[in-house]
Amino acid sequence: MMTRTRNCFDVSSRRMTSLQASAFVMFWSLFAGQDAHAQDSYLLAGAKVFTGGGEFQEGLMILIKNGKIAKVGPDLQDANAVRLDLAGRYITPGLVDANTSLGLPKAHVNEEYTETTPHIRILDAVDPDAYAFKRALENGVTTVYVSPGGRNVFGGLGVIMKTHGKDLESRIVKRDSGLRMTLGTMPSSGNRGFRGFGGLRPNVFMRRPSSRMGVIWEIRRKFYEAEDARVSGLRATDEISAATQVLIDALDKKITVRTMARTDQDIRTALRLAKEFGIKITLDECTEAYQSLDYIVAAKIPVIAGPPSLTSAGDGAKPHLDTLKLLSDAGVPVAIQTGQDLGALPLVQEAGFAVKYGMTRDKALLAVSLVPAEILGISDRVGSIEQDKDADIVVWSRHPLSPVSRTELVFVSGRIAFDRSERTSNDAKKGAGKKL
Amino acid sequence: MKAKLSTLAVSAALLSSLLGAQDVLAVKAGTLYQGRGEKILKNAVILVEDGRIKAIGSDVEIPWNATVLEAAYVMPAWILAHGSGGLDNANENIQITPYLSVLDSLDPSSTFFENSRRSGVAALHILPGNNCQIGGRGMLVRPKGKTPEEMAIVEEAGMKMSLQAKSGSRSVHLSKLKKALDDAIAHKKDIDRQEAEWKEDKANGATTEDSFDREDKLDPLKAPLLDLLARKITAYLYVPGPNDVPAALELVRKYDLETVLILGPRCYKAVGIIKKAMFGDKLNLKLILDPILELIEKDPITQEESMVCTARVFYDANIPFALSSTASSGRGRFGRRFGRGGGTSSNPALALPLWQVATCVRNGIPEDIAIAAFTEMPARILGREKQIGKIAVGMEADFQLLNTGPMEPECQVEKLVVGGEVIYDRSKDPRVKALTGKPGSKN
Repeated sequence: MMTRTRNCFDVSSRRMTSLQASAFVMFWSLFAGQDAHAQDSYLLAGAKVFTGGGEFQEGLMILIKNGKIAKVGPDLQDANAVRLDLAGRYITPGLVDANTSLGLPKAHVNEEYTETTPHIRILDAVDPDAYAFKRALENGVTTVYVSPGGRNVFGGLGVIMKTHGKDLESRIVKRDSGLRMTLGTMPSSGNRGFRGFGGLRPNVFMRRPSSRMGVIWEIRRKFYEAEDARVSGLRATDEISAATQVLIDALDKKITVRTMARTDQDIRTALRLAKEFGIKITLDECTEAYQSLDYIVAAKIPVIAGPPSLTSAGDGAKPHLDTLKLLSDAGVPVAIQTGQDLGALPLVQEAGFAVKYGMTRDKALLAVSLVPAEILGISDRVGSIEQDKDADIVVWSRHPLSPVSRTELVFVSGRIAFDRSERTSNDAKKGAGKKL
Repeated sequence: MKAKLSTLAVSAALLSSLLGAQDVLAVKAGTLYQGRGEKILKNAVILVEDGRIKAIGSDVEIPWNATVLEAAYVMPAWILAHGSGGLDNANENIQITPYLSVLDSLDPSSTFFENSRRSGVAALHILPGNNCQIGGRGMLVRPKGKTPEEMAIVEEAGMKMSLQAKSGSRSVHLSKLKKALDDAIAHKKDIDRQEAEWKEDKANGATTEDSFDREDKLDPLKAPLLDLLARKITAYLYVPGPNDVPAALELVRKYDLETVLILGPRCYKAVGIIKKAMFGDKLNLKLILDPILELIEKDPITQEESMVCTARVFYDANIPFALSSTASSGRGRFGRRFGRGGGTSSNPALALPLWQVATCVRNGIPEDIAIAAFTEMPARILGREKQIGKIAVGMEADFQLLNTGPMEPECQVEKLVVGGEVIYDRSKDPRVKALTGKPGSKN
């Protein structure tokens, strides 16, 4: 609680001097006692606000109460709330990164005993205290999708979580969200069949598939198995495996198949598979979307595009400068991801690069807030500044898409999760950066 | 016939130079940023004649024969004081090669120069890489022309040296580097002795030689080092880490070198030593920082990660510095990629001068100082601050025409003017055309 008095903004109620206010805050924090976090209440005033559509608006105030956005509007009053005067600052919703490998020991975590592991949960491998979450938080990202790796055809189930919170449990927004499916060369790279003992047999060391068509066949084979099981009405508790159950859920559209497809040919394959099995997919990275634009538009499939600052991509896909502009101009719901080990800049700076190459500012901001929240199915909680949503709010020093902008305050679930003024001007002055 | 042809060529050259002399360029700038400490002008005109800026102001009259360009924002072009781009192989595989020159390796058709034009760079000091103790001579070029000679501003510029031990220990590396310099000194002394002997013999009438030809006695492999020791050539010394800084300073003091230090990202830790050397001991040092400006480090004991803006450390210590844009150190060694919470050392944005400048500003360095670190400061390091690095009357007409202010996300270099000539035009950039829009035919 005391930390609040240390932030750089006027912690003052309207009719108080700053001295009175700090005394008030001290008294109030003593009074608030044991369950202080639940009572945290802030009134954000004076900033330009991007609520989740259109331009930044002036004169909007945001009231945060009990971890939620209690009210958004002009001239709000609340005697119990700590009023932060944020004149000259910009406010956006907490950013949503729809594909990351935060908290994982490596970018592509896969259980490789078999090439299809749709039931494996990446949550079991996430280190919630990893510094990667703090970096994301400092850069205004409050919600992330953590993905299983792409070395398997079906990599497993992802998890959506906040970058900050009391404990892991409270940070999880959605468990078992999205089934990772990978097309292209990644699931087959390094694989080869093992000849011996009377034929071609896969084992731990010699995996299949070993080609693009082999990858697709594995997908089909597993979906056929799942369809058979579905027709016979079996559940995971019966004689079918947990893996098949996940695929049945995918066939029933209860779970989105997060399809990694970079090249034009893989994108078209993904669209074909979606039609063939009636599954709900998203296209991840989707580097060559400019080639298959018409098909993506016709299929109405959302795209979670790779970082626009990059000039190279996996699978030999050729990035174009204005892919995001083309997609958004064509009306495709498009989100930006920092992805798994792609060498991306922080999410907001990637959105800045999208603007550099022709995307409009509001579309680019939406591509890192409301659109990914909608694609991930969590827009009832995050992605925009609306009443009753989680109070995930970022205060920026300048227009967030400017390359010189940075976060000053980040709220997660109504609490100040990051406050730049609490740090020295440079990390070097403490900790690791000991000077000679 | 041959003679006739050559007269024709001469007269053609004369004619074109005469015509060239009459080339007048006028640039109308919505906003004109001239450089640090200068007033930012609105609706100003820059008048260029013969490659140089003739007049600047809002009331400048545009001559009838002028080519007129317009831009929302005009600012000085970037200058790269140290880089190894455009070379097929930045280093030889032997350690002491002072006699090599990048002039023999420079590839004018390299995409490096194309990218430089696209990102608004008007002058580049290309030097050998960091892998040799003494790598050879650098070259100051403009990113235009079809041969290294056409590109050249200065054909033989600085001498590249490096403290990055590639084989063996740091101490062996350093001692070999010193030995090379000591050998050169010994060589000079040997020639001095021969000359003294010749003078003595001459006085005694023991020799018939009329003159003593020093040039003839000089070992061409060592000659560049003698120029270095005589401060005729500036040493560009790469210092990989903070623990190499004391060795670098000792080298500078012992051999009295005119030195520019190229500091690896972790060198910010030695800021105290550098400051004392520069301001306490009055050592004439100039600094170029590594492109990795936001360095993520992990405490080896607590495993705590922290991010440091290296440029900010030098700014806070009041030490002037220049920025550079091509990564001088291998990726992976300094910071991991962002996806796993590390740095972004492989991101192509690092090669953009504007991104380097923006990173400084984002970390609290004033905009004019950050911009100067890629314009005015490199010009000073190269000893050309009177010619390039600012937009001022009498200076060379090197500037970039932008569509917006440099700190807006939409900012692009629309045109790059170098020496009064438009050498880049984004609207005609074939690479941008190929990489944008919907490829209709393939769909």
